[in-house]
Amino acid sequence: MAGIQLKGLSKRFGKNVAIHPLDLKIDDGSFMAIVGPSGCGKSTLLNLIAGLETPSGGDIIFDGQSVLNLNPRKRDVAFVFQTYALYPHKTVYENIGFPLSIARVEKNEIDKRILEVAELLGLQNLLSRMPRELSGGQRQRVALGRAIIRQPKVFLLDEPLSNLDAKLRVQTRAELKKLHERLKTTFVYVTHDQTEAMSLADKIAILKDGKLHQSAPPREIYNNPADTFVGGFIGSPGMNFIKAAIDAEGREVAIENMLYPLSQPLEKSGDIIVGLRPEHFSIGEHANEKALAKEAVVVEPLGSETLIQTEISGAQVVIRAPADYNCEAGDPIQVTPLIENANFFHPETGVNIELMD
Amino acid sequence: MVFYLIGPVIWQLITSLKPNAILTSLPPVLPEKVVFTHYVSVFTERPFARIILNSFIVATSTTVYCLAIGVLSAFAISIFDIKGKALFLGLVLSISMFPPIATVSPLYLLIRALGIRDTYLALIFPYATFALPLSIWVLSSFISEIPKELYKAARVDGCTPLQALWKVLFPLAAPGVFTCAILVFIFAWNEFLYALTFTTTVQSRTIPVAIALFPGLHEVPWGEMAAASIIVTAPLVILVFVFQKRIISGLTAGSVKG
Repeated sequence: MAGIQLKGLSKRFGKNVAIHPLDLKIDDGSFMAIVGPSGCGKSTLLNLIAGLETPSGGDIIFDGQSVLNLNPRKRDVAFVFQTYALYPHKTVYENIGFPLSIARVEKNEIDKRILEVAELLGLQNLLSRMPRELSGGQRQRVALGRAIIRQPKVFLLDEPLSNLDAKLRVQTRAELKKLHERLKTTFVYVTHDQTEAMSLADKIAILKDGKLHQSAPPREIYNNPADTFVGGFIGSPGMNFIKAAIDAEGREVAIENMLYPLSQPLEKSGDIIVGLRPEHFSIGEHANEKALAKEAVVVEPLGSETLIQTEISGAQVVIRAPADYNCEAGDPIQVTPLIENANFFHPETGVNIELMD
Repeated sequence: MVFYLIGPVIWQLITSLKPNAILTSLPPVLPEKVVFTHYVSVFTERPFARIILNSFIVATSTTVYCLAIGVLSAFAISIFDIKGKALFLGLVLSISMFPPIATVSPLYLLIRALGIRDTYLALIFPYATFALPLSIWVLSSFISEIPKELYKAARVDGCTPLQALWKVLFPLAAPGVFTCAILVFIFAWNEFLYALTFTTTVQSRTIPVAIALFPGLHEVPWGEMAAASIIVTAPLVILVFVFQKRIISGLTAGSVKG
């Protein structure tokens, strides 16, 4: 087991900057998810940690020791690939045992450990099969088995669930979480799916265009996103952003023609972006003094809730209403922003004003 | 179509089985009496066994040498990010574009200077020069078709780069390796120009040259030449058929996604 520290780590491919210098601390035994849209450099980051790519700058530290000069075999990490990368010419048994046979572990010991891992993952009956005879979910478990058997310091997982169908994905997600609780090893998990990251990780790092935007526990990221990108990326649907203005004292925010007092004054006046989660609105048919009179543009009844799309100060806004809320497209609605839950962002940079130094 | 391709071979087969008297009769129908005298005389009156051995040694060594170098270069080309990779491959290909006749004189001087004339090496080196580009192209296309993750997985699982090549990539590229081996072997087995120029005696003479030198001053021993040709074509055909099975089975075994 190991804690990982990335210090000013960067990577360029020719002229393209894949990763701008970033610092990240991954605690020993934690489950860190690295999320971002495709092409944000998250897989590159994982390859750097594994030693499959050489960084252009910065340092990678495992338990206080730089591993920069260690090749992948010496770093003692296990990698689970999106495509699983099972060896097609080897049986399940040989695939799982491969890391040990390369390490020249004794035959009896390999046998014993393969059986243990197979039992843990429910692969006992598949050991003599070839990878091509397995379903996607089974291949995925073999790939996990090959990683687990090493008892590595760190598990690196590159979108391990994205090739599974939706139902199996949710099921495997829960199994992964159980596995992490059992092994108590550091997991670094790359995904583009924010739901996966939220449900699995105890800390999430959000990457975009090779830049680290925020790294924090899921709840903190959800409640206090560092900027508009994080707010919009995390949550389903993402955060709503509404143009507004703040008075000179920073005590009142104006959305359209309605004024909302702030419980804590802001050190900012003039234009601002108000970030509100879909659930941070109250919605009804009757007018009240703080409500904006709107029209429902799209209504999506999802069973457990109803999503209502409308428009506030020129921006599309999605509002989460109770499942039994009766409403159709075109109906008038009264929307009240619950301003005490709002985050405030700088209109140009998009950075969260309260988190600014 | 099949007849068009196989016709000359059949003609040759028939010729090799005819007695001398009716050798040149047309059309080449099978004679009433099949004789094997040509097959016998090829071995008894000429040092043909030695020549087959020469050819075999030269072709096998060329193949092994080309594969060893070819697999390593193809591995490097397809796995690592090397600057100027395309240029390198282009240069490699351009080498094989030289017509052999243009290189034969300088190569002759070189070989004489090295003092390896009339040895196996005098053939193996030039052959490899021409067969290597082909090998590198065939092998690198096969190896680059293998998902890169497999190499990465092998590295993370504790392999050195060469172990990863040997234990993971090589078995998966086996169909390509066999294809390449056959092509190189056939090339070396059939090559004529260099063999004619760089060899002088039975010491290292190869089959195509030997057969070409069969004709004496006053007669052309068609029967013996045909018999010799059949003898040396047979192993190639068998080789191709044997390997063909392996190629096909190899292809299906490797076709696992991810």
